[in-house]
Amino acid sequence: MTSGSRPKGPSGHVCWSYDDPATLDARAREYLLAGLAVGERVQYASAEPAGDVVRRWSADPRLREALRTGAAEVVSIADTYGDGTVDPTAQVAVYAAMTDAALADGHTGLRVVAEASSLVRTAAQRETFTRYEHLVDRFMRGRPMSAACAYDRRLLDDRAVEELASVHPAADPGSTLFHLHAAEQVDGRLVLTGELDTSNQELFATTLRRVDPEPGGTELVLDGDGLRFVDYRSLVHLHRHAERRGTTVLLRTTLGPAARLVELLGLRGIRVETIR
Amino acid sequence: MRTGAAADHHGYYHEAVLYGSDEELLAVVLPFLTGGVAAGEPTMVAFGDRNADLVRSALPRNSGVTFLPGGDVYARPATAIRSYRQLLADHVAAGATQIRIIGELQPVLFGPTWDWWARYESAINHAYDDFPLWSMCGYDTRVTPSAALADVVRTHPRTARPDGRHVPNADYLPPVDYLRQDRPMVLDPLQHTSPAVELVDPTPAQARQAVHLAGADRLPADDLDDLAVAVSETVTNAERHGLPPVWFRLWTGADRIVVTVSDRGTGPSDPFAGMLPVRGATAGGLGLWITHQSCSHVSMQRGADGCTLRLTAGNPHFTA
Repeated sequence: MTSGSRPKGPSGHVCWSYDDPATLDARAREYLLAGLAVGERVQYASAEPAGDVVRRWSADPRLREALRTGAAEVVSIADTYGDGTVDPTAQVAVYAAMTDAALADGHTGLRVVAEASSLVRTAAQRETFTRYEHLVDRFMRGRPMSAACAYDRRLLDDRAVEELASVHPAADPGSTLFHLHAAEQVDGRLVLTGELDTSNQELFATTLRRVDPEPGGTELVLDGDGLRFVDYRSLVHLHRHAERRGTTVLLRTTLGPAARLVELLGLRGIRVETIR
Repeated sequence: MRTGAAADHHGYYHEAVLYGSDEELLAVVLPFLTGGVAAGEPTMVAFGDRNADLVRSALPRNSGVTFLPGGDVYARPATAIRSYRQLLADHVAAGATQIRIIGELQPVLFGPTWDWWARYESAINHAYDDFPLWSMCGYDTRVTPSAALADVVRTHPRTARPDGRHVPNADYLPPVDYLRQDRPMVLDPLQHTSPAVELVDPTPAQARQAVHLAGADRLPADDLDDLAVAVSETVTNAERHGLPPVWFRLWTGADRIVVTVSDRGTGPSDPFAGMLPVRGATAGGLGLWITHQSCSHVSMQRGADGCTLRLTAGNPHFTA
């Protein structure tokens, strides 16, 4: 694997939500062990004190060995992300440096589990953190880093989890009806999947505002192959985003009604390409 | 400056033509068309093939009359209103002081879908009133059912007679009055059978899923996607603006899917909802307008026990 290669598929950046710490612990171990098995450096940014996790994980010989050699590392979330407010660009730079260091040390890449609930408790925190999730999502499309972001349902309500899950390529079932994330092609295009209707149109508008996707070229390309439904409200939000950004949105979708709705409502900020 | 019978009229001058023979039709249509061309007015015919040929052969060559493809214009009422309003706006922008159009509906539309065409005939008195339009709607009294003819004189302010007179219709009702009247829905025979799907208070997503599950292999994917849009908007409106419970029922026929969405509310308050893109004051109006352009037929019934919208995808022209 070269430094230009990267994890394939939507597992590269996933959103977990849990209400049982033991479940999260088992899941994090399994996910990180899979990374170790393919030569990655792994890090767990835990909500618990790091020492508690290290003691528990040291019972597993593979983890104990990886923790000893530095292939695995456990940190507390506060150590990685600071005091609760995240600077999106600076945090991506931290992961870029960690990815470079992992490669320089002979690893094939970097894999992270981050329990970030303490960073997204308030709407103001999520305003910034959602933008960060999007920027790191873009970073991971281009570099050999993958991550699972874990959120505690005992601390966050459904809506908060939905806000976060929607900016990951994949999330636990039932957490969101749609996903907006970076595409495999590193040219600024985004992928839009799932269903957009009255139940989540307001969230979609919020997500667009927070993520604030910029066009890669002359227009913002949205790959909507996986879009199963879109109503006029969400198309209006896309149109308004295009106007704010002074660009047009090219929405590629199999959904025939999208082009008709755009024409019906005269949404000149959107160009629909109906694909078969 | 306007000319002819509409000379002193502001806005839309809307007439019915009730004819019993080709001669009666031509006696009204020919002077209407040649008068328009002589006055330099955009003059158009939106007839089916048979009557278009009849009129064309009765006119002089290079008459100056434009023949529109009538069948395409009259696919769905809300679509017809939208495209006619655009056409009229374009002509006014180009300097027209009056526009003349004569059109007709094909006889198949006098069947189960007549209710929404009757609503169309009423709604356009308002929808086209922004324009200096003089239009005539031809109805052949030999093939138009009497119930439909009764609606025609309630929705057209005047009748153009073969003897050249333009006579007010005593039964005419302004659209806000006509559109508020309750009309019984002609039940689709499928509605007498047990529905394939019945849901109480579904989410829009559940209702859309029911459409896709029931409709796969029955209708083209595009028709199903359009029906899903209509179902999603209708269920949303019922939940937001109606009174619970919301009942969703779906039937599958050989050539169509029929969905009804019922709630215990009184239905849309704006009489033009569905026909025009009602925004702002009337919540749900835009969704209903989109619904009317996403189905092959939409029928609405209001009664003491609530409001039911019936959405049809596929062939809506059943035999009752």
